[in-house]
Amino acid sequence: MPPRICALCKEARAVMKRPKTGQIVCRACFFWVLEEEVHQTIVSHGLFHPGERVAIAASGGKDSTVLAHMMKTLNERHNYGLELSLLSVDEGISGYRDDSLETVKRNQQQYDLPLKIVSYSELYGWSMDEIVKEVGRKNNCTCTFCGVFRRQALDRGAVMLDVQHIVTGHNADDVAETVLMNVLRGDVARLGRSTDISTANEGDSMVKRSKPFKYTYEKEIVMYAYFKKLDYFSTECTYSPAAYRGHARTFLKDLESIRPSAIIDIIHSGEALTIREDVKMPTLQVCDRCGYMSSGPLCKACVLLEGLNRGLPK
Amino acid sequence: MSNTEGNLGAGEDRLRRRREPGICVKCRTEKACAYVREAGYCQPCFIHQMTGKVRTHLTRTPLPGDIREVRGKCRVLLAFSGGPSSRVLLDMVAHYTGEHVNQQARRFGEISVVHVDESILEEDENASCSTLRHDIQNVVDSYGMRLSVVALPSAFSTTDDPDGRRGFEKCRQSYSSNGSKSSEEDLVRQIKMHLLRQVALEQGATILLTGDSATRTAIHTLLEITQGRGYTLPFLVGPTSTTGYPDVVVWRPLRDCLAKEMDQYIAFQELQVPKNTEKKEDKSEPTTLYGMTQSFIVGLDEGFPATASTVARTAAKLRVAPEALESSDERISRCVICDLPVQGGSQGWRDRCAILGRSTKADDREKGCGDSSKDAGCCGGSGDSGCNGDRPSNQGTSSSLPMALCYGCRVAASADKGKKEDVERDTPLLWPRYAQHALDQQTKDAKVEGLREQIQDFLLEDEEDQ
Repeated sequence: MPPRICALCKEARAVMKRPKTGQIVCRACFFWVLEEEVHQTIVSHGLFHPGERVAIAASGGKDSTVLAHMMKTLNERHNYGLELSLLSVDEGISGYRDDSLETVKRNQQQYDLPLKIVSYSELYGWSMDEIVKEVGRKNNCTCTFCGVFRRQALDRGAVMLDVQHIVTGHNADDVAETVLMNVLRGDVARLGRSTDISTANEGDSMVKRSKPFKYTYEKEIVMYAYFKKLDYFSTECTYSPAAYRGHARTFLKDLESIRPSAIIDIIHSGEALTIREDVKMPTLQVCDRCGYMSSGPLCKACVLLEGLNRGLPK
Repeated sequence: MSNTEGNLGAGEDRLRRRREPGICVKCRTEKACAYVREAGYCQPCFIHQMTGKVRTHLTRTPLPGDIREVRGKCRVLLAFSGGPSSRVLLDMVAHYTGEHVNQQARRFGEISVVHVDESILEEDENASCSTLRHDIQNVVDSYGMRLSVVALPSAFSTTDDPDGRRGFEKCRQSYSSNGSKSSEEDLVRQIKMHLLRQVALEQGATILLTGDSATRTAIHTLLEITQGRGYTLPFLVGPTSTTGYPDVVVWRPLRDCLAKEMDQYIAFQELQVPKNTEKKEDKSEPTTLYGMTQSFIVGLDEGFPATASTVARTAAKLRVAPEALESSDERISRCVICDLPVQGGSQGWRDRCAILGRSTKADDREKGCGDSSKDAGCCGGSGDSGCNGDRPSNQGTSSSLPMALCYGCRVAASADKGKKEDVERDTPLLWPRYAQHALDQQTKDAKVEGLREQIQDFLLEDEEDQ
């Protein structure tokens, strides 16, 4: 059987099939097309402006490692003129985050980017291990604490780094999964903005966040990391539970197995979904205690923190 | 009242009583025999709450302006598959809007029933067809309504192929060679809706009632999202698709009732159901998007009983994009398959998200590389090194498909190539006759418009005469 030829360059021998399109491509074309798609996403959405200081949210996992690599590559190739840095959050999960942070530190050397690590202990006086000890591991509450605190921690880290823009490694699978989750939970407030590529600067402490991998399939990110031999950490969080989100994730994977374009089709749908004007939506307020954006007098982080400090949430 | 009860708040008290095992949550005296989202009802209370929901829909949903004017006279067509949902709908409609309802309270004029004969999709076509038709006729006759039956392949009928069977089979084959079973299912759904609307049009009906339950609405919501039809989702799963189709209002009065409630209602009312709609696919692993979505929603609803109704209610909160609304002075572009508005720029979006081509050096030499595409990296990119051949090209994306398709129908027509060896192996698609006709008409209109543009400067406006 003759070697199969790359569907993109029509010259080299194809070595893989793209999960997103099903095309058989050579290694060089795979790198090119993935980088080009991310570049097209950045350019068509006008994500950056020259001279902007941008922090890459780095966990040491595959998505953020590939993001760091690609941001550096594209910044140099297309002269975005960005001042890049790495920003990590140390949640204080022994056996997981301590190891992944070692990867981030190696990435800092490899990509020659400044790194800032902010820790939950330092910001909130509680590490995740301590929180879990206090509240237990029932239901999904561990992830609630971690998610709420991480969002604020990234913003606070960005202020420390003096950047107004954070890029995160959320990929197409994450975005599609969020669309499905919000439909399943009936969360119309989030549904309307679940496919936004950037969050606008709102409130006093808000830092702009963008997802350059919004249209990039998770499998292709893994393939990119694998073929580029990138140094990343691939262990699941020790507190990762079988949450409700897991159902949406499994469903999405099943859909993808039947129709590979389902992920991108869900994002296309999500972008077109708009909520009726007469539907009651939460209004954006500012937390009385910390000044962070909130939907009530106190932000979620302050409510959780208050409960922790009073020893209430069991 | 005991001390403990006295300390309970009103809400907690209500909840406690609501959860009292075995007792109806409504009358609080009878034994519960039907459970809806963990709330138990006795038979009369169950029927009362269910009919109440449907009656509210049927009698209070605002009618569109032009239909409101002919209140009590507008003709209604009820889509009856013979399954449990449409069976309940038929019963409810007959009871709450039929001729026996007093003149002032009546919203509808004549109500007739249509059944789309899908027996061509069955393995044992003849046997299933005759039995089902007979049972359906009996049920409809029992309400004294008129029944029309239209066969699925009739969308393909021509003079050479009067019943359209050959055309239908060819079309299915062309879809399965390009797409998959999911694409075929989607095509069948679109053809069914077209046929229902066609019958409505022929009979002068302005309202089409369908028996979409909350469960089916939830399944369809997720399914259409999965197929990229977010733009037209409010038309497809909303309570009424007032402005979705140009000729008929699709109304879904059962969208607040779960499929389980339908079964319960049928059992309590001892209704004859002609068709058991339980899919054979349920027994094995689902292999289509619909089967997958159905199994997901039904499965999730067992663990989280509010899932289907939450999804259905969320879908009802969606708004149609203003540009998708047709006004009297501005026509919008419609998909030739589903006849719903086409979202502008969706093909460009897709090409940007998934680059399928790369201009090679050979291509550049051939073209003389003088073209500067705006988004591309070659000769027009931001800071690229010039004509190195590294630029995206949309060759081979979906060139064989006409632009007159919406995103969802386009995906269905070309989907699942990702699972095939070679994405460029396109088999020409065969269309239903109505779609081909619409496509020809659009092409003709575009030609006329093009000619008109050329002579525009020489045409006199009416005002110039005055």
